[in-house]
Amino acid sequence: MTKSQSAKGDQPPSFDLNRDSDAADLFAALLDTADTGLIALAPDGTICHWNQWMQSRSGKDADQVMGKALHDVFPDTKLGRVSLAIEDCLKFGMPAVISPSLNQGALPLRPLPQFAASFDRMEQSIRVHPIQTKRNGTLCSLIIRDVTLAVQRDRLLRQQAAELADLVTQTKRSEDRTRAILQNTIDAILVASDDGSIEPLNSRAQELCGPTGDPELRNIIRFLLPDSEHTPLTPPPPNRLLTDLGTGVIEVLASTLSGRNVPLEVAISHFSADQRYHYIITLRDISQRKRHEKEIQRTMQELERSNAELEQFAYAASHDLQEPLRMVSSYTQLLARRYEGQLDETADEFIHYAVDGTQRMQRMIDDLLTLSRVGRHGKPFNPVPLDNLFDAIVTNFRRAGSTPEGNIIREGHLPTVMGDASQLLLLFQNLVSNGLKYSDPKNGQVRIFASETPDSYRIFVADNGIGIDPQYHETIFEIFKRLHGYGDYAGTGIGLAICKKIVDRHGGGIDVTSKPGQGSTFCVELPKELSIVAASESM
Amino acid sequence: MPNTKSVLLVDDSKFARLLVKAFISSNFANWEIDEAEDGAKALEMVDAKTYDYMLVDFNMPGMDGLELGEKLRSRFPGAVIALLTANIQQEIQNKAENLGLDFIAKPPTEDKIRDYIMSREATR
Amino acid sequence: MIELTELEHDTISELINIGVGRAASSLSEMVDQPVELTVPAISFVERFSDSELANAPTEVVSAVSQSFHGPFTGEAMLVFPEVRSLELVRSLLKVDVPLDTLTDLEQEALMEVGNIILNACLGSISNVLGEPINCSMPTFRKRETRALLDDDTAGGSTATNPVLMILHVQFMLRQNDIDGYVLFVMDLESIQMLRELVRRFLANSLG
Repeated sequence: MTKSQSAKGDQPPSFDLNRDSDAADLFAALLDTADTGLIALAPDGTICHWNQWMQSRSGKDADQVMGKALHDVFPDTKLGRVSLAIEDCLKFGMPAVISPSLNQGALPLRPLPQFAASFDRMEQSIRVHPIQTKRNGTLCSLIIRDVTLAVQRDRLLRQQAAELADLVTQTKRSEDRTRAILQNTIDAILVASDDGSIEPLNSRAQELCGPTGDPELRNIIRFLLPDSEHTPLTPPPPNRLLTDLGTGVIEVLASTLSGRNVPLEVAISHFSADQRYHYIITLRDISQRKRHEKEIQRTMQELERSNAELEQFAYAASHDLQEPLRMVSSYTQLLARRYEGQLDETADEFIHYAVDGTQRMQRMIDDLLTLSRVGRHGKPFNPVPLDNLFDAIVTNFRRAGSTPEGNIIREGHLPTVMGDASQLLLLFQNLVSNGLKYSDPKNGQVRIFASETPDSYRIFVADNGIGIDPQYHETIFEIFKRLHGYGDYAGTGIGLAICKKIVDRHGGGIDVTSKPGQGSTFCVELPKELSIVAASESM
Repeated sequence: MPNTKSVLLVDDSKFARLLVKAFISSNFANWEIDEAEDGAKALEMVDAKTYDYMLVDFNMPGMDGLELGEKLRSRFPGAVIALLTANIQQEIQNKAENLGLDFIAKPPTEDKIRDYIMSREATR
Repeated sequence: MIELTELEHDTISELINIGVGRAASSLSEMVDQPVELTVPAISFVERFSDSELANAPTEVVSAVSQSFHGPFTGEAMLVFPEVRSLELVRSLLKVDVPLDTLTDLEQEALMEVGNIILNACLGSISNVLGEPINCSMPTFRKRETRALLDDDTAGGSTATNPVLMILHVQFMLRQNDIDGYVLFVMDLESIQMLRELVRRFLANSLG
């Protein structure tokens, strides 16, 4: 006790709890100002107190209810649990908790206006207490709290929790699916963040970057990612990282601890999440492709080598054969000039055969040289207007006087193609000459026309000659394939082989459609855009 | 009461049997009172003897009071059978009523047991 | 030492059984579904660590406890592993909330369940033995099993050397069975008093 209090204590207090009337006033006021419902029941279960709160929430005044039992105050309400609790309290002195969840709206009390829309009754949390009195035995008190707001919040919480759980289930399901897809992807997939961390996302990535994988691989990947300030980079060994400048394909050679070398193609894409940049790194095992590529490369080299050898041989053979042939040819011609008619008839005939033979041989050697030159001495490709080209061909034929006027017919405009002009001239001159050769010399006719596909031009050379049996359509383009004896039609059997070789060099194709007796149509198809091979060869 | 009746008490609690037995003997002298501690034993005993009253505890290990009551009722359509239980919920009450079993709320008191038997005797 | 004859043990069991039977019918009426409540076993131990409950010392349990004063004094507790308490409350309230702790309202509901069962047990004993027992309002606690009996209030009512009467209780609801415990924590003097009252009652009734 402080001095001031004891000083005050000297004066009689204006309010004294020891005075019964004062105490009664105070307690009554306290009970009526409490923000809870308070009911007191006498040992016989009748109401002996009913506070202001109870009056306003039940709509029943204290003087209406005093001296009545609770079930008489609320005759229409089943008070089951409340009645039993009161009974146990009065009889055995047992206290009770009456929860809102297990007893919805235990007493018929009005909810506050703001809850009236969703609640018929106030939600209540009730405590039943025994009160031992000296004079009157055991009384029972009911303390009622309005927990409608809490119940409303609880409902909301449950609803939200249920929605959240649903969402989690859904998310998990789709996550499981995504994970399954990721796991079963053949490519290794990793994600890297801009802090330098690299995380394998699937089992294949784990294999490559895990403990039995390639310890160097993470470094190589970091090196491939855009600059990161976090980790100083050491460039990977040059044999481990290959970049194809032409196609932009990055290849990495992984060398796993299990001793395998795996060539990988790397693809990097990025996304941003959580305000950070992330990279998705896809590593595709290209061992198989690499093997195939190598095989193709080897076959190509082999083929090129043997082709070159063959051309070299053909050139050398034909070139070197020319010298002795020229000698044989010169002397047989000399023999013919000088001794024709001086020997007997048989000798003249023999000399004639010898001269003819050397002339044919000369033509064959010339053609062979031409053929070998197609590959060896090609000129760069230029735009070649085929109309002009065919003008020149017609002029050539007319000059040679080998063909009647008007039997080379052009139908429509011919396109301009990319190519080696002199080879294209040779190609079409051969085809036209072929067409005329195998036709009736008087009525023989060759028609030239063109068509177009999205990617190519087609130039047709059609004759009305003897035609070609379908079984030979494939083979006529091979070297030295003659379908006829030397006597019937002039030719070395090299002409169409030269045509084929020229078309090949231009990245195109040649074929024939024909029926015996109904003429033949040769079709040359030239690409509008040169393929890489043809372009590089044309350089 | 000169005539002697027979009673079978079925309860797993020895205490409960002793209590009920004491209440009956002090009010109905000379009545024969037998005891069984579970349903199986009770079924054995009713093979040997027919009882006027069978008081059966509801909550017993093994066969519960309702199952036993059902079996006893089908064998003794006219016997008085009562279910003793503290668990007087509606579902159990309904089942007992359907089987024609009476209901005595536990704990048993001398008044409860006496009044019950007296009222049954009066209607016989 | 607690020495009970078979009949004394049986008597206490029966009183408890009557109590939980009454509690079951109250609960059943409240939740409008069948509720069965049985006490398969009652045991007495002198140390909490000897009880089956103490086998999982770090398990979190929910407990509703009420202290009682009368001829014998102590604390009565309904104890469930936390998961079981969730199951129990939610199957009584017929709701399925995907939350792994009790909400405040569920906690209060569990408190009421505990209150009903503990009142019934104490009431049954008090009623039959004819001795009034005063109980406190129930309180709720959630903690690890090993700390279950620790007293929060300094110099509280819990006896220093308590003897425990442990009831294994089993709720049988429509969908599931839920196991829990009711503990009576008393000092030796109180438990001897209980035994004395049981003896006196038996002597009077059967005598």
